Amino acid sequence: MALNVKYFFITLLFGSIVAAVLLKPFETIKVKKENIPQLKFVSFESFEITKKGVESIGFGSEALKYEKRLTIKFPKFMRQTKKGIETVSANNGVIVEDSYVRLYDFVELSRDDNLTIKSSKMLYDMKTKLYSTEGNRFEAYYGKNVVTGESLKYYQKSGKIFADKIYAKIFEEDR
Amino acid sequence: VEITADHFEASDVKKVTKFIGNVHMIKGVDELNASKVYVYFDANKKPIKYEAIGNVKFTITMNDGKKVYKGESGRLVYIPKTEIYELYENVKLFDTKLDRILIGEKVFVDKQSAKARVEGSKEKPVKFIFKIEENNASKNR
Repeated sequence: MALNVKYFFITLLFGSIVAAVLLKPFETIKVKKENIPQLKFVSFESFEITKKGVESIGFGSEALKYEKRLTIKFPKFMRQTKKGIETVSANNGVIVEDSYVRLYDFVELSRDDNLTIKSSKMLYDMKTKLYSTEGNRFEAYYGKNVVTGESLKYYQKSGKIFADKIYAKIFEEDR
Repeated sequence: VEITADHFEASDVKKVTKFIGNVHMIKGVDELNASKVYVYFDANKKPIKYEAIGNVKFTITMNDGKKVYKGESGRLVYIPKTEIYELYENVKLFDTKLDRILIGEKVFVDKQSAKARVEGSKEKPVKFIFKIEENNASKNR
């Protein structure tokens, strides 16, 4: 029986339906879009500009932009505050859009009026403008005075600092 | 000055640092324990006043190193510039050298002159407690 073209396509169609229904694909890799870097920046500088002008400047040696987050190597952010310029830097950082900035490995926050805070980790909540070491140990230098402890919270707006398990060394003037 | 405490609060605006909970403070040879200690700073971040509040127990050594006062009070204020301790509320001061106890409402201890000045109140007059050593002759009469 000559297999003319019509029967060939019918057989092909029937075969693909059977394949689609019965045959299970052996391996599928479902890659979430979130985990694929969309952009890569190298030695970048970014400016946060509002009606007031340049509010903050960000630097980094390398950054990967994902759908909802930005991971940065050697991030450094500078922001103008009531107490002068505030600089925060670390070896690594992650910015989650409009939510928080997580910094880790040699985090240092310093302010023009001689306040410096060092820790291994720090979280900055963009909404409450709160820096927190999230239970980790810290060292804070205020002029020549030194305070060490745990769970530091620094409210950027009010300048208030809270912490636990404190050891402080206060420097007095020689009389 | 070394301070340990459970909690810590600092405020730039008010220039005060609060140490709260089991506060232990060592200042040179002086030492104190209290529930809270507030440290007030000047514009150059130098401490200008210490205030200990609640269950204050202290050891104060005069600058000449000879006289030591131990004691307790409800509140204690120390001014680094004048080196004067101001003690308030149920003050009990024990002069370890003269072995006498001094009780009052307000006591000022001057580390430089090694003098203590006591003030009482109408309801709570000043009280001195000290031992009298009687010699044997007067005993046998």
